[in-house]
This record gives sequence, structure tokens and C-alpha cells, in this order.
Amino acid sequence: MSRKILFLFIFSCFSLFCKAQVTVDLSIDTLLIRVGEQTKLHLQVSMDAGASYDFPQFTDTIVAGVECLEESKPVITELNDGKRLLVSKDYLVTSFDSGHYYLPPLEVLVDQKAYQSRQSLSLKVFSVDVNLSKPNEFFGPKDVMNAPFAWEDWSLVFWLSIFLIPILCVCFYLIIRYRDNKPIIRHIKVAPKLPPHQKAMNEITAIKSEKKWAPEDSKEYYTKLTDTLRNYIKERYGFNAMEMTSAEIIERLTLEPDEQAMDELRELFQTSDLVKFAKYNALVNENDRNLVNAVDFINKTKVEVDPAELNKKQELTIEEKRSRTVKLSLLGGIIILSLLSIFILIYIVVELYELCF
Amino acid sequence: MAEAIDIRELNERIERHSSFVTNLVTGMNQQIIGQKHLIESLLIGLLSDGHVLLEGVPGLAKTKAIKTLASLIDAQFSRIQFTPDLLPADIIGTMIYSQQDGDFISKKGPIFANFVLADEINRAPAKVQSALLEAMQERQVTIGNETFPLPKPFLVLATQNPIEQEGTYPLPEAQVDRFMLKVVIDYPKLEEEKLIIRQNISGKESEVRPILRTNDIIDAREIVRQVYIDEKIEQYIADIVFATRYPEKYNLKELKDYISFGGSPRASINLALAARAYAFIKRRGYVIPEDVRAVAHDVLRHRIGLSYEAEASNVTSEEIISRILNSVEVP
Repeated sequence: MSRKILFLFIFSCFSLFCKAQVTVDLSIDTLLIRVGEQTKLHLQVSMDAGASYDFPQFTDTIVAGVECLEESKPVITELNDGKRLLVSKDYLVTSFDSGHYYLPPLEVLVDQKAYQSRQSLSLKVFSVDVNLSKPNEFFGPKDVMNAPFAWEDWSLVFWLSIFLIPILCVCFYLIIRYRDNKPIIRHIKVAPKLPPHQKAMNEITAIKSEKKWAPEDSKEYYTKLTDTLRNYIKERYGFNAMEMTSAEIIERLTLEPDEQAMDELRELFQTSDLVKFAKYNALVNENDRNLVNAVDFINKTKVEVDPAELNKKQELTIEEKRSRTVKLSLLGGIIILSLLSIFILIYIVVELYELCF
Repeated sequence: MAEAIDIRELNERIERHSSFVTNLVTGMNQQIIGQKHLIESLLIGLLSDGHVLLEGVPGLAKTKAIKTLASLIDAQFSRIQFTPDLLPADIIGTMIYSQQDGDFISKKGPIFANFVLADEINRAPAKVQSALLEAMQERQVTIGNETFPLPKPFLVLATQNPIEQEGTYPLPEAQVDRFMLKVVIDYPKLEEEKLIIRQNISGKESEVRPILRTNDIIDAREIVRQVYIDEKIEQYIADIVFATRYPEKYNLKELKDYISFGGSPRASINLALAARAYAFIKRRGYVIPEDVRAVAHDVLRHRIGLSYEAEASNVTSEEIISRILNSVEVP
């Protein structure tokens, strides 16, 4: 009986021991490195699932002379259908002094209990061979390497900058319009288009008022008179009279029913050709007659425009007065756009600062 | 009013001296049916001392027109048939050894005449065509070390078949630019065709007798030189020629790609000279824009270089000139 009790006690103790088994292993990629070269320490702990763990953390060195550059995050692997866990962590180490370093066993806390790795390691750091007889082969330290340009880093800043320009322009425009007390969209006041005959008559009145009757002014007088008539013909009949000769214009107007008007026009063009191209000095009464002929031709061939249509056009083109609503909307637009542009500008500046420094 | 009298006086003088124009045209019309434009162009060349190039398919009376004009004037006439094996010496002459003198003497070629008909000029290679360059521009010919002046008046009237025809060589730009006018001859109208048939099958050959002396031509040229060109017309001519060079400045941007090179200053000069001769033919002592437009096609068509784009788009120099004339403002 007492044997059975002893056996049960030993078995229970063994089971308890087995349940609490934690193993810590430490390994290294290479035991030999050159000065400044890097290698990885692998710390691995095997424990039951559900147990808490805490790996050692090195802020500077592991031992004097061996620096820890980087720690990886623990990697967890489940074993035995999730009953056991294998947690591993890597440490990137280096050394800048040659020599032989002893790396003691590392300690891991599992359920607040410390377990040491089963292995201790040694790291041999050796310097680079230097041929002292050839000092020319020594090179100074290299410059800090610039990070390669990546468009992804800059694209947002770039597009925001592009977007900011039109916003600022619109903002500026709105401020100007607001300051000048004008509506957002400028209403261009279109002068009422005069009918061709009225335009020509105005020009003829202007020519008449200039009183260029002197012989030396005849050329200018007839040039203006014929240009007025050719412009009138162009607008009234719709062909390019300005690029046609007198004979060609007369030929195009042969269908005009008023023969007298055509004869007068022909006479006018003949005289003007003589004055313009043959140094002919027309007499004062000739000038008068041709002016009257021009007026007669215009009056006989003019097409009256419906006055109602002209008035309608004028009404449409009258500048609208601004309302209070328009003014408020202008102010609102300015505030929104200003805020938006300020926000974008700040964002761009911050991003640029981060990218550059 | 004094200047006005000058023009009137000039008009009267032109009226007196241009009577031969009617006789020449009548004489030409007896031999050539229709082709009014061809006859006018030959007269322009004759009066403004400019060489004329006639282009057209065979059988359009190009050679006959020139021969008739030469026959109507009492002057030396020679005809050179351009062939692929022609040599420059066959045109201008050469140095030959005289056994009698024991020295080389110059043997003048057929170019030494008042009227030279260069028939089918584009059948000869460029080397032979270039033999005419000095004669046409300088009115002189150099044989060996000696330079001989050509008789006055001296006029080259050349004919050519369209370039597309087989066995032809295109004229070099420098050569073609020396022709004042390039006249393109078209087929006669239906009624004219019937008259041509009637005239040619009757078997009656009407004799052409000279009605003019060379001195009359020289005198007429003197009068033509006095025809007044106003600065407005000069501006108009300059605008037209400039539009061939820089069409974009005349709202003709679409023509820019079609023109590889525009008219040279020689084009402006010839346009003014031809317009003046045209005014003379029309019995006028001054040039008007109609005169410029009437001769613009003949003066400019061979002076506008077409680009590959133009050729690919089937745009011709005729169309380009018409577009320019319709776009440049008339004074």
C-alpha cells in the first residue's frame, strides 16, 4: 500500500514538473564578424500556452563592446495543437572594437519567473587587414547616403500645391470683386449692334465733319469713303468686299435692281480709283457729288432692322444690380476658400518639412 | 491739277503708242483661235522685257503662238528644240579652230536672236537648261573668255509639257524664277474647238507678215516704264508676296504647312512690271489693283514651293494664290 502511495506521489510530482517545463535557447548567425559588421542573435523560448513572457530589452549594449541595434517583434508558433508555444525574438548586434566577447546566457521571464538560456555564446570581432605600406589606399568615411526619390512621397504635396493655385486665384478674384462692390460674374455691357447702313452713315458724317477737301487730302478722303462703302457692302450683302477690287464689287452687285444707285456707285469707284492710284485731284463739287452718291446708295439699298429687336437686345445687356444675397455669398465664398487654402498650405508646409528634414 | 494733267497726257501717249497692240492681237487671233489669256501674257512678256514659260499638254498651239508672235515682229527668231542629248554649246555656241586664221574663233549659237523659242525646255537635262541662265538674266553670253551682248529686244519664250509626263526633267528653281510669267494653257472651249477644226481642214494657210519693228517694241517698253504705280499698289504687291512667305500674318495660318518657300523679291519686281504692262495693254497710264490680280497667278505660280503636305493634300499653287488674293485687303 505504501508503495502505491509513493508511486502516486512521484508520478504527481513528475507531472507537475512536466507541465511547468520552460526551455530557453540562444543562437547566433555567425560567431565571426568584422568590425562594424552585423549579425543576429536568436532567442527562443518554449512554454505552455497561456503563460506570460517577457524578453530582455537592450537599450544600448548587450555586453561591453557588443551593441544591440534593433530588436524584432516576438514571433509566436503554436505546437502540440496549441498546447505549447514557441516564442522567438531576434536581436541585431554589432561591434566596433575587435576582440573576443563573451555573451552570457540571456534571461526570459515566464509567468514572472526567470529562465536562463541554456547556451552562452562567444563572438569574435576582428579588424580589417590594412596594408600600412600603401597609405594611398585608405579612404575616408563615406557621406551619408541620400534616400532615393520616391514620387509617392511627393505626389500629394505636389497635387495639393497645384490645387492651391486656382483656389488662391479665385479667392483673390472674389476679394477684388467684393472690394469693388461688383457681382461675381462680370456682365459685359454689349453696345447695341448698329445696322450696317446706320454704321456707314455715322462714318460718312465723320468724314464730312473732317472737311478734307484740299487736293492733298483727296486720297485720304476717297480711301475713307470707299472703305466705308466696302464695309457697308460686306455687312449688307455678306461677301468680302474689302478683299475685292472695284470692278469685282460692281460685278457682284449686278443683280441689284436699282440701276441708278449702281451707276452712282460705279462713278464713285471710278473717281476713287483715279484719286487713289492715278494722282487725280478731284474737284470740290466732285467730292460733294460722290459723298451724296454714297449716301444715296446706302439709303437705296439699306435693310431696315426691326426696332423692337434692337430694344430687346439692349434690355438684355443692362448691368444687373447686386443684391444683399450676392454680397453675402461672396463673403461666404471668400471665407471658405481662405480657410481651405490656409489648411492646405499648412498641410503642405508640414509635409515638406517632414520630407526634407 | 498739274499732276492730273500728267496722267491724262500719259494716257493720251499710251493711246497713241499702244495702237500696235490691237494689230498684234488681231494678227495673233488670225492664227490662234481663243487662248486670249495666252496672247495677253505673251504681250506682257514682250512689253515688260520678261521671259515667258508656257505649260500645257501637247497640241494646244504653244509653239504656234510663239512662232506667230515672232513672225508678226520683224526680228531675228530662232527655235531650239530641247532634247535629252542637247549640249550647252548647242545653245550658246562654242569655240572652233579656224585653219584659215590658225586660231580659235567663236561660233555663236542660236541664242543670238531677238526671240528664242526654247521648245519643250524640260526635255533637256538641268545642265543644258542652266546654259540659259546668264543669257536670260544678264542679256549676255560668255563663250570661252569672250562675253557677247545679246540683241535687243531679247526674249526667251519657252514651252514645256507638264512634269508628270514621261521623259521630262523639272526646271531648277533658279532657272524657273528667271521666267517672269508661267502661263498654264488650258483646252479651248467647244465653240473654239469647232473653229480650230474648220480653220485647219480648209487647207488655206494664211501668211503672217511682220507688222512691227524691233524699235517699236523698244519704244513701247519706254512708255510702259512710265506707267504710274502708286505706293498703295506697291503696298498691295508687297502684301501679296509677303503672304506667300508668311501666310500666318495674313490670317492664312492653314497655308503655312503647304508652302515650303514663298515668292522672292524678283516675284515682287515682276508682279509690278507685269501689272504695268497689263495696264498699258488696257490703255491706262496707271496701275489699279485689277491689273495686279490679273497677272498674279502667272507671276507667282512657279515661285511658290509646295511642301509634301500640300502634295499629299492635293493643294496646288493656284489654290494658294487664289486664297491669298481673296484674303489680302485691296487698297
